[in-house]
Amino acid sequence: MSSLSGKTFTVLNYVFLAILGILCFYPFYFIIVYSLSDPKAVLSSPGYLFPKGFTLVNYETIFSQNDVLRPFFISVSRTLAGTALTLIGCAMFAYGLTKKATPMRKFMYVVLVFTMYISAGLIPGYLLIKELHMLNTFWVYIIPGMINAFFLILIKTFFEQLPAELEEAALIEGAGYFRIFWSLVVPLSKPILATIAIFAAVGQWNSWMDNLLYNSSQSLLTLQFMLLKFLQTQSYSMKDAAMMAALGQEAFNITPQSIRMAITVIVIFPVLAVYPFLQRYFVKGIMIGAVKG
Amino acid sequence: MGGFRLNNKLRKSMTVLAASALVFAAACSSGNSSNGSESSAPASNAAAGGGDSQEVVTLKVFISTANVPTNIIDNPQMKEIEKRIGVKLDFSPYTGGGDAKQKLGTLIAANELPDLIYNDDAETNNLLLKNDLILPLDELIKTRGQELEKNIKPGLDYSRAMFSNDTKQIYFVPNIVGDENVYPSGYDLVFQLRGDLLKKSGLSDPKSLDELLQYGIEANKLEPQTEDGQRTYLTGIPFADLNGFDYIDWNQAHYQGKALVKGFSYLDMETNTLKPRFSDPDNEFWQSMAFYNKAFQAGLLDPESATMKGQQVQDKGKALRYHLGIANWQIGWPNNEIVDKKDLVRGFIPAMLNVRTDYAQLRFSQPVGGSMKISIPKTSKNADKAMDFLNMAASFEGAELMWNGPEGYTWNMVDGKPVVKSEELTEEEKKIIGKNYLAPLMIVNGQRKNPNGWFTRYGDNSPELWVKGYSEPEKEYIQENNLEYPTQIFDRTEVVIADTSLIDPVVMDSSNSLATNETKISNYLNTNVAKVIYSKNDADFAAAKEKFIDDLKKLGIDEVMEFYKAGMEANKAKLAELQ
Repeated sequence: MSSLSGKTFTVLNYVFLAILGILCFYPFYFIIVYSLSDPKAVLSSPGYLFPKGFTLVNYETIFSQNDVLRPFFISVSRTLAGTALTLIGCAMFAYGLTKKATPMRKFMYVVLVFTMYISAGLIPGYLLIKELHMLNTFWVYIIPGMINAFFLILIKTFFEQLPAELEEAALIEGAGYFRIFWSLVVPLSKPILATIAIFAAVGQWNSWMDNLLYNSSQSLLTLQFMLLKFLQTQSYSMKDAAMMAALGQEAFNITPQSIRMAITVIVIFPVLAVYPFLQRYFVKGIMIGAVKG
Repeated sequence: MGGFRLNNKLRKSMTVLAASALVFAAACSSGNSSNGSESSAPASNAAAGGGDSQEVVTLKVFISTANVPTNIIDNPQMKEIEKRIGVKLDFSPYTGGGDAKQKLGTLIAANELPDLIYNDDAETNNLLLKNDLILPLDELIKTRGQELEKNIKPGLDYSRAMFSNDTKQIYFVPNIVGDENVYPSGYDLVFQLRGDLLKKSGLSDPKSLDELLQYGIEANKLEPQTEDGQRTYLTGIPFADLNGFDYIDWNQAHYQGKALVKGFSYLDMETNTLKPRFSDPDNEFWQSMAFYNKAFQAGLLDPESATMKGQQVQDKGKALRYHLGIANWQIGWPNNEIVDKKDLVRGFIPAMLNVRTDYAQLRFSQPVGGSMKISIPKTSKNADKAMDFLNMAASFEGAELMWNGPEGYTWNMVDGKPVVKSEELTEEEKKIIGKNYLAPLMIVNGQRKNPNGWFTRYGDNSPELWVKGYSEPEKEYIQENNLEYPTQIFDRTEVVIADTSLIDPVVMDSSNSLATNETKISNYLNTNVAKVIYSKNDADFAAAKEKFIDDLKKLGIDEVMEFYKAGMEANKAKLAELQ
């Protein structure tokens, strides 16, 4: 029976959540509005609700001054390939670790967890990539990050929750481990795999450090790295500002705020566009993966 | 039903196939192709002056401040360099983005150093030197670097004294040796105020900070808002930037012949000694602090200064929300905005206050070179050609090519002298001639005047062309002061450049016990300078000032200053020994 207090609570709840939602959503909205505003018109004050002097000139500037298509293509490719191979690699590895018959599985698991806490650092990592002849290749974006300890633990925990009887029944029927993995385990693990897919995809999309360190070829430039270079002129210390100004005005031209906003939109838009469709898997999967038994 | 399943299956297969094709196309693209926009024209084989064909060598170049669009830049300037000395530049080691120091670190670790390193980070340069990774250049300079010896000897001597690990050999060639930054509206070290508002207020040129404050009050009365209804202020300071407090005494110190240097000190230009900057209660820093506090009390200092970064201050400056600029870049070169809008009223002019007539730092200069140090790694297989490039960059002809581009684009030779074309260059044209990428970082000879009598930056030979870029108040300023261009007013002071080369190389090692003090003092300054300025009245300001100085002394500021003093004296002795 809905009493006055119940109704009041409901109304207040809705209001509170609406405010919270607006507070979360508004910064994104502001960025989009700013990016669609005339750069000079917003110097005095930006449009808070609607673009001030609606224009696409900021996007035109970015696309005309940079060859965006190829880096976009590289970023999409690495996101697709990286996500797929990460899922396959982590899932297969995790499945193997759940099997008691796997030799040294406990040792492998400990080594894996160890890597979450200790890293060899930048230079050893670079030397390893060099020794593996992966410098200036597309695969350096994919292979080193294929097996992720955190993803592995999530997947392994999920696999361990699946009823053992299902596998036993399949084994009795004559199915091998590979068949069981593909036909039984993977279909039942969609929530966790979707979750890992989101994590992996976002990580691949946002990554630029590997481009800086391992790839100097222009044909393998990623979108994030290209846009970072475009944003290169950030806050300078006074000394830097003075030095740059002394070298010539052209050398010191901070990218207008409106261009920065447009770059932000270009970078986050693909993720924003895809994420709502996978959100339900994310919520379900992360909770299942976190709870055992 | 079966048909539906087949279509669904077919659709899924097509999606997977398309995604795989995308991935394989990316993966199979050549990782070693260096440039998507490389010219298809064959490389020139003509050497300058000789007419003999020469092999074109591609040099890999690392520049720590690079931001180039592609590994090998194809433009008329690069083509001319290739024609003259048979050298092509490949910027693939680092084209910008991310941390250059990290990138260089990985190249060092992997032993993949390029043919030329341009690096302004003292720590990594020291690493290269101490680990014997770079060549001593004395022999190469003797055989292939005559222009370096001829034109930048002070820079080479300085490098020998300061950056040779006491071996007295030349490991680093500095860039832009002898540069003096002269440009018509170069208000980089001086105040600039709204000439139109000064005239309307009826006040005369301010000769002190108090008179400048008075101008601020009157200007605010005359123009309390911009055309868009935004509130105006005297100025804003980006305290949220690292070392934003450097803006405080930027002008007043320079007017009194003091350069802002390390060790929390001033370099006194007249005596070439270090003086305390923050701990002397009566000096230029505290005079400026008092000025900005009064401005705050009068509501003239942008209250958002406490949280603003440089970019926001620039944006507000461009929107003409400030009536006073501390430096050109600080307020976003508003005269350019004013001229672009064809505004015939507004404009900023220099405000010289009580500038000294004997010593005042009014122009940037690099008497023994800039912070960029150029070295040739031992692993380079093209050390000879690398030196050829440096030799060209040290010659007047080479430097002028890098400043101005080849003949025919922006200038022509008329009666044996270079004359710039009167048409304005577009941004695209500037990029085409290569001005944005090479000059001035890669120029070694930064001297302003060619021995033949013309200025090396050819625009300087035609000051009459600069008038197009002046605001109306600037034009009036030139007329009233009998000048050819606004910053010619600086020439009324005898010495306008400061030589900080003896203090610049002094570095506090992290293992030094004073290093912690230095860090604590820097943090204290970054968090507390604004608090003092935001004191609500004179009494609070005086109390805050006393506490501030007291705190700095407790943090060991005197000891840190002594360290830098000693370092500077040691460098003086080193250089004297060499000379």
